[in-house]
Amino acid sequence: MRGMGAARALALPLLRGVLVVLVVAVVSLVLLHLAPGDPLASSADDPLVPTEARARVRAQMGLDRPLPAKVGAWFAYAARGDLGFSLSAGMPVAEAVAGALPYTLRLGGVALVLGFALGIAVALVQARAPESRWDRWVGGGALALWALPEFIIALGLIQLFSLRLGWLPSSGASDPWSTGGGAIRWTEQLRHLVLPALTLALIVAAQVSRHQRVALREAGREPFLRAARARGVREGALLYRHAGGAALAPTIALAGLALPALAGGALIVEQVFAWPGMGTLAFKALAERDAQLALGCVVPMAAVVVGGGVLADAAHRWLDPRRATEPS
Amino acid sequence: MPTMRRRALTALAFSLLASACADPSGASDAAGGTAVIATPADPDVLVPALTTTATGQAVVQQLFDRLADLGDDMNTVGDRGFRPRLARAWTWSADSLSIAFALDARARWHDGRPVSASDVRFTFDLYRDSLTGAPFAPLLANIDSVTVRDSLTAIFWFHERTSEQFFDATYQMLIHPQHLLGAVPHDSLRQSPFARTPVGSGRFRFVAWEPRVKVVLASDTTNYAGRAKLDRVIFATSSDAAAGVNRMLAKEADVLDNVRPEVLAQFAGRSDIRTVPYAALSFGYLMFSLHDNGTARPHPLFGDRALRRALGLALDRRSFVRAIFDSMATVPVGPVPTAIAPKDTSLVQLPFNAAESDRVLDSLGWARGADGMRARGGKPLAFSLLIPAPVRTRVRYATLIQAALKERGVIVNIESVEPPVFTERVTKRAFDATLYSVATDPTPSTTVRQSWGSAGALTAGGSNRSGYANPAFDAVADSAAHASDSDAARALWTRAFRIINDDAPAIWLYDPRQVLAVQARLQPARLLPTGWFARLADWGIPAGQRLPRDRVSGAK
Amino acid sequence: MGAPSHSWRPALAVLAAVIGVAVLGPVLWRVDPNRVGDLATLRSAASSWAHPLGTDENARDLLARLIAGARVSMAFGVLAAAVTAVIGAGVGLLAAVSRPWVDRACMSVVDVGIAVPRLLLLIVLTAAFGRLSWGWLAVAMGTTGWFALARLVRARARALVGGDFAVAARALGAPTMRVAVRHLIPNVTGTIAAATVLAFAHAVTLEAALSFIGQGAEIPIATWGGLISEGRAQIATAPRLVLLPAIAIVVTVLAAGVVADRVERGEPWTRANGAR
Repeated sequence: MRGMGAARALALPLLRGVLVVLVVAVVSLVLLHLAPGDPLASSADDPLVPTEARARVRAQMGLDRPLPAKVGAWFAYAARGDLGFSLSAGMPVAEAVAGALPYTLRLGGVALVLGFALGIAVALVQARAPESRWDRWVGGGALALWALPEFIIALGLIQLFSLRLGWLPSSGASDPWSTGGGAIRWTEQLRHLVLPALTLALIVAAQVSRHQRVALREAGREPFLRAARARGVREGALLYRHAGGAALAPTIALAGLALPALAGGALIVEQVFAWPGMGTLAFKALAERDAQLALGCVVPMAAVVVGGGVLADAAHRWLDPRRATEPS
Repeated sequence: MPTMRRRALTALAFSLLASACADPSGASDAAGGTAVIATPADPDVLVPALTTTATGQAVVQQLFDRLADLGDDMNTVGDRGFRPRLARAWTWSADSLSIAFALDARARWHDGRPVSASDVRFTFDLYRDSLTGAPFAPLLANIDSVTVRDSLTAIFWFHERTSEQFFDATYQMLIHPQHLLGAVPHDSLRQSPFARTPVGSGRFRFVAWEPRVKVVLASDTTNYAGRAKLDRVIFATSSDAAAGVNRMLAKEADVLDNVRPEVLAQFAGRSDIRTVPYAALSFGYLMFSLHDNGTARPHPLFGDRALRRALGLALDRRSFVRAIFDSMATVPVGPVPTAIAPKDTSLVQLPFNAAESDRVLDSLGWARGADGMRARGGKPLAFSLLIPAPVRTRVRYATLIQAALKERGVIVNIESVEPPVFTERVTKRAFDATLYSVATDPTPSTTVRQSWGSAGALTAGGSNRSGYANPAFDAVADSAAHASDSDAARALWTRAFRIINDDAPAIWLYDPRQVLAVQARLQPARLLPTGWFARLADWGIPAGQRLPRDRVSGAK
Repeated sequence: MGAPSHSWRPALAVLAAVIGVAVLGPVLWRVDPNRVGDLATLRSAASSWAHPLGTDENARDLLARLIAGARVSMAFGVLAAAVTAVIGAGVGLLAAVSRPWVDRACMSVVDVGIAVPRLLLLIVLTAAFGRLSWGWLAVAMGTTGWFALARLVRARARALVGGDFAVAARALGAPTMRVAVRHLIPNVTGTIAAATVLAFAHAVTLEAALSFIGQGAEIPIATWGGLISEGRAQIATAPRLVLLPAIAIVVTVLAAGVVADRVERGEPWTRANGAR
């Protein structure tokens, strides 16, 4: 019964989400069409590529066509799963994106989980003794983290853990020389993941802890908790078992909202750590005026963000039926 | 050819090793080891005819061969000093209008097929076809054709005798395999699978390319020119410049090129990182647009030679070089890097003389206003300076030039744009002034005439971006390029450079001495101005100093 | 607010001090931030009487550049926040009180805006319009940062429209627009004010991020983010070139965060919603 309702509740937002992604694609096409710059001229100085050769490639790639034709062509091909050929990557866009997406999902996924775990843990510590010194210090720490731009956190972590202590690799997603497989490869990749994931996780945690703390406190005022307290349930158990559940719903909604921030943060973090994901790919595409590839980056990123939002929203409704009656 | 002396190592020789790193033929001859090279970007395409990036060049020059390589003295006149490579010998015709190259019969493509004379002919036709769009095609203009006498003899036919015919025939082209590329239409080479999985004849063979992560090469152990000493070379991409430096500091990379002074300071205290300076063939300058926005009309400001000179006089190039490069650069004396400039002490460019600059500006009617800034007829003396956004050297130069000219009452608006926009604007000549940097050939004959000769001044595809045109300069430069011996050529080039220095279509700013950083366990071979990587196949790592990653062999 | 009550007076004092420095700095420290000193002796020089915080790699006075950076970064933040507040509040209120189709249209725009990472959107915008001067960059930042605020204001306003006093007002025959103006706006000002202070903080950090990736203000304008990216190459040899502007950013943003908290108690600050 409830499952059926959830499916129906999911269908409409999903449809809306698809529409949103389509609009994002059109707007990006327009903006990229406006952007000056010759994609075949991406080396800073005279690349000497003969003018006629450039003109021919431009024609081949359809770069000279008017905007409506470009938009039409992009959608016509995209509908068949063809995202075009990337000049800067030297391969089909779909292939380039397929190579980069797993890296970003790995980084973002770990950061999201780690960030939420950290954030909720911090909030629980704070909520046990509101207005105590603990609460104040932990809260102050979270606030300071929130105020730090991610690239400063990243630079600090690299200085400390890679250059001073030499514990963890400074960049990349794997050792360049690695050829091994199995467990060795696995630990090696894990070591590379730690610093970038931690950077993003700290940012997510700072945010989540604040929200979660408020949610816990509000849940603490709910009548059913007051009743439990009256029954003599210990305060700690009260917090984890009862209030925790009620406070989870808004936090899951926050997960949906955290996705765009995470995607934006990943842009910078991937750059600093030379992480071969969607962020560095998007940067490269834009810096080299490779419109096909840029679109190939923006559209999937938007799809992930929108999709995540829809899912989080649905989960929220499912967990907290009160919201189902509210207009969104 | 490197001699393959098998390990005759004694304990004594081994202890000498640490101090004898300059001698690569010493005790370290045992092949093996892995070098990780930190690069700022992926290669573009691994088709030698098409690649335009530094990383692309570094990779294709390991995989592919020229007919003959430049010697250590970088001589480009005649064939003196050239080392045999794919061609084991060559003979000039009596009239010097053709050269027959005899190929090394042992040379094989990495797929096992022999390299033949028809590959050479195929390569020339490929470079020359305008459908290919090879960036260096214009430099092959003196070669009429290449014919095949037999499977191991290719003959180059020239239009006219020049001092650098041999150089033209051997330097610009890396030989491509016909059996793999013959069927690919020349305008779709860029998209062909070969561009990502190349097969060459060089001392390294291609293993793998993981986009934006690394390109892996391995020693071609049966190569006709001797196996590359290193087992593996890995070009590891670090999209962020600081990430490459960090990789060196954390010992995750073995080689980093283009080390800047502030990074040098970071490496200074490290005994495990060696920094090796070498002369390079790139230099930078402030270039004026002499025409108005790509038209034939003179530029409202820089059409005036006196104004250009006045601005040049205002720039203290020596202190700029010291501020930005410390001791790692010099001020060029003409439109070429110092390595190939005539060694004539009387050749100088415009001096730095602020008082004279002010005097000339005053005399031109640009009077200072109450705020100290100059104007003429109500129009302020202001121009835009176009620079590519992420290039730090030029950002700093722009900053210093802006401040220096402000003191002379001149307003400089810095426009920093992304590289593709920069190139587009420069190609269309849509700029007032720009900071430009070129990597030249090891001879003035090609690059200088392309960049400053009037032939390329106003044509759409011409490489003369400033629009500078002076028949006197053209005449002297042409005779210099045709001079029969190096001394005559040098004297003529000196004359040509005096003319262009006086006209000041550009102010020569810096000629950086490159610095390569390597982990101390590596023993680099000689670093050539044409590219630090030119002799990479001769680099070694002494057996006693190898790390675990050096011992992984048979990369795949 | 839900977070522990960080004392907000010091935070307010910090903000006031930063703004004071921005406004009065050039009078107090009369050194041209763009003047290149003697290149032979003053490059990345340590502190001295003439240059209390030393000089940068181009022999420019660091104190003067920090002060100039405060001016630009503050102006930048204020301009971006103002644009965010006006558009966000306007669209949010409009959506709340208008017919369903207007509401839906507005919220669709918000959905689209939220779906694209803001930093990416800004880079695409600077690409499309060539390089933006810092003023326009601030405006661009404002116009890409209002989506979350619009959603928030609309939700608040909708709750109020359904609330007792609006029903009462309507029962007394007041027209919709008057209800909106008279009753809604005073009741959402707290939300808007808090969000505006946050938008200010985001603009300051976002400017730093843009400068960091080389998309900042034009040369030679000093901004805090620009100072960090200029000094980054010397992080090992002259760390103060990075540390001082970084501290300036963090302290300012922190203060703004605390103040925003206080402005609307119970409303947790957040930088979700595509704030970055």
